[in-house]
Amino acid sequence: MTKSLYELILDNIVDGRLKDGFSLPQDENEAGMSFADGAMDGIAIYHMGRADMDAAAYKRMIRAIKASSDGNADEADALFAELGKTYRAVSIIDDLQKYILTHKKVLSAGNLYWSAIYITRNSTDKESVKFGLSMLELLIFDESDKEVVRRLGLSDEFALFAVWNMVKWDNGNADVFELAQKVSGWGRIHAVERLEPATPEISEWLLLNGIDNTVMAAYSALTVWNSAGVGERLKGQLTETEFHGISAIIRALLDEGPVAGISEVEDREEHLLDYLALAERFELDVDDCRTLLALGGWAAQEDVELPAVAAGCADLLSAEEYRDMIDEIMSEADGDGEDD
Amino acid sequence: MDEANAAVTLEQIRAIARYELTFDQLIKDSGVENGKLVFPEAYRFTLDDLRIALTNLLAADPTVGDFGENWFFPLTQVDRAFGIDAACGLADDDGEEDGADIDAADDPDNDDHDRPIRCLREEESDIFSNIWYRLENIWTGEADDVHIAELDIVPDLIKEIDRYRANKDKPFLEREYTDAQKRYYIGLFNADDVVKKASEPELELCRKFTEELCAQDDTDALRLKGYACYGGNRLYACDWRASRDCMLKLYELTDDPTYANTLGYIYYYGRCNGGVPEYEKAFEMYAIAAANGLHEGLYKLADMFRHGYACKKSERTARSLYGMVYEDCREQFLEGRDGAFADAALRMGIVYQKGIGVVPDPVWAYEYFLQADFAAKQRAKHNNFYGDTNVMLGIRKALDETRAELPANFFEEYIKTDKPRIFRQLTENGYRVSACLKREDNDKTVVSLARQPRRGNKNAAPVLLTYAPIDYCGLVTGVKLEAHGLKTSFADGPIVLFKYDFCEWNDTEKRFDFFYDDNQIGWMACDEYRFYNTNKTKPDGKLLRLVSIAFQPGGRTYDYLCDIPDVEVGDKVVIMGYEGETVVEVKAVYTRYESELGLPLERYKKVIRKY
Repeated sequence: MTKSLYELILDNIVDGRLKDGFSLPQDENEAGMSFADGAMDGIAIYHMGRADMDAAAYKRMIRAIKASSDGNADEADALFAELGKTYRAVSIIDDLQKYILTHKKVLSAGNLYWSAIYITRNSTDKESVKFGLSMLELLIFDESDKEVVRRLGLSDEFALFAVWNMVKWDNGNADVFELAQKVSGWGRIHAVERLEPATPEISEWLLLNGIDNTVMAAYSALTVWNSAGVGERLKGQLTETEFHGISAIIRALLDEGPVAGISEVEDREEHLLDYLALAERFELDVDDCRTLLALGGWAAQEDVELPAVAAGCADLLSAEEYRDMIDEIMSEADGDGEDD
Repeated sequence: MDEANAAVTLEQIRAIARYELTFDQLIKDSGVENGKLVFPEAYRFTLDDLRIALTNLLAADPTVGDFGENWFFPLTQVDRAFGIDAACGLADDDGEEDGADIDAADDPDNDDHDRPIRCLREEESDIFSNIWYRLENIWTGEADDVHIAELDIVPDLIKEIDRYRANKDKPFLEREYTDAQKRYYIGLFNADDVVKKASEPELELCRKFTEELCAQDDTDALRLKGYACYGGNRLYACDWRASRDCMLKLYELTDDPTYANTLGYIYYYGRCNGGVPEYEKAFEMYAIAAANGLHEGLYKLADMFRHGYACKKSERTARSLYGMVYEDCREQFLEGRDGAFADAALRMGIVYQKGIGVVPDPVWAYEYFLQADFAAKQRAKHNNFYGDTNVMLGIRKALDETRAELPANFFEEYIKTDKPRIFRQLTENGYRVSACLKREDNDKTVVSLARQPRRGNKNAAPVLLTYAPIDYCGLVTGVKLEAHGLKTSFADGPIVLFKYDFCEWNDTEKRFDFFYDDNQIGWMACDEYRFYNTNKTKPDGKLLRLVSIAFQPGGRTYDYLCDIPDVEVGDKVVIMGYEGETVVEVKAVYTRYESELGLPLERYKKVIRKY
């Protein structure tokens, strides 16, 4: 018998997180092109709009919800899996949840809950599990079932849906924080996006680890800048580690390829000048120099025109002690052919 | 083709709402096949619109597929523009509720939102949302190529709207209701509290609906009436014949053994036979209940075998039936499901105390009573039923009586054995066990064993451990034993750790052999393992003197506090009964610490004086 995705995840949990290199089986229709767990949903969220369902899919969704409400979990699982072939759960979750909320008088909350838990635990279909998690998000949780969501969340494929659940739980931010630390791909991007800096510990973690993910730091840079309060921090005392952390965040903000970054930072000139003033006080490492090089180049652009920032970067990098590092960076760039 | 947006007018929206126009026609007329329809003005879909739409739908008679694709589904996508959510009562745009309120005359307690009659109140939005949902069912549940007119449902939906309108201005009690409404209403009266608090008109309406539904063999109504008549309540006076007839009908319709069980009681006590038991019929009904695992049926069947009512007297069979209930309840208790294990263990104790189908054995009886005592205390942590208190008192009394029958040297400070059952017990049902051997001195080693939770579970399931000689009963997932003179093949050291998933007693070598994944991993032999009751607490509080008294010879006994020093067994004493001072006979005299009482001290009554 094929193992459910939940069982696969359970089999691969070591010390509370998934084994390195673990990924869910690729679906047949994805065989031609391999995507990392969570990548398809990540791309859909950051780069694609909401899908308008056609009548056939909408009807299928209703049938799946009604089957869940009737307690026919296996039938619901099959219908959700079928629906997921044409519409990913992430793109129609609003339709699904709206339908449930507007039909709550006629749907059985108890059966919906039972079916949703059953599907999340037993389905072999990724989208079906996500539909199950999306239904759970609207229902009142049994404490013992939260563990199912926590475990599924360890997979980057399901982390977003787990986080959407967690933020609705009492003290759920603590669960989101825990999950953020246990995932490293798209899961971390989604968890960081929704993590409230409720405690100094979380805020510090966001500053030092919030943009570290295996996808692209830029996805989380603006979120982390705001949630870790980087602008405020630049006005106070920083440790060397915190300074290096901020350097990395600024570098990621400058990469506006996938999402908005530095251009969305409020009062950016003031903050960047604060950063440059602090940079004079710390011994810069090669990554800080990378940040200064990128920042200087960006600030000098015609459409940006922040001459004081550009000049500050140039001043700092002209120091004798950083010359070797700059050579190293430039030769890397030459080799990669990334910079002209 | 035009890719521009096209604004839809209010007239067009109303026409769509009334199924005078469908979306495919609208798109065609607007020439926006690649563009978008925009709705500059908000509309409020009304029940009038819906009724017209249903009539037009019947006349146009599209297929279910056309109806869905060109009308229902597009409407769900632009529901805001049509005000469908508001019409369904989900997003009221004017902040006011629709529909007629219940007349004050109909509902004297108009402010009381708990009154059952309020569930019959109908808003226009209730009717709208109900019909809308049923239209959705047509689209999602019927085949696409079926024509709407082939389905009976649309005329019914039109009637539903007409019924609502006709009812609207009528007094509340004179309105016409659907069977679903009636069923919902009478369903509220399954709660005793509702029956107690309902007004007379509410009860009258419930009786009216119940009788109407009973005439249609509706099981909800038959059940309500059948159990109301069984003993009687405010809804129906006690009427055993009516109750029996309802139960017979219910059993015939549903084949549900619960009704057979109830019929068993009616026949057993001769409720419809002038008090003369109808044992033959009772036996048949209890047998059905018992065969379906109903504990009450099993108990009553056991009682019938015990006394030979309508069957050959067989105490052995009775004992076997009591045992079946015990095993079932024990399993539920171990699974953490609240059940009747305390009662079942008490009954099994009585089987051994009185020798029902077995040789009387106070040791076995005491063991069962200890289990009953433990289970009752566990249950008391979650419940506070008077019935539970009675069970606890019964258990306490049984323990006291049995303790007196046990041999003088029965009780021990600790359990000693060379082959503890618990080694094997912990591995049952596929559990792995962690073991830790901690050597304390040359002779003594502490052996700690703990079941490991299974994958996906936080905790391991417990086992029920009972050691009567040390007054111990508990649910455990692990134990600590003292091993004296332990010999083992496991590594020598102050602390040894290992895991096993199976073990067996090796009678040749006189040792336990331990296995993991079918491989023997070691053995342990020991002259004496000791198990102590570490849960035992010393009694505290005042030392009290109590007497057990009976109101009638051979009747049930009750405990009273008695601080009159010279009262003895057989004496007559005066107590305060329900009808004033009563003289009763003392059946037993005993002392207890306050902590050992079954009830809080203040709930005990006192003996007034010696007679």
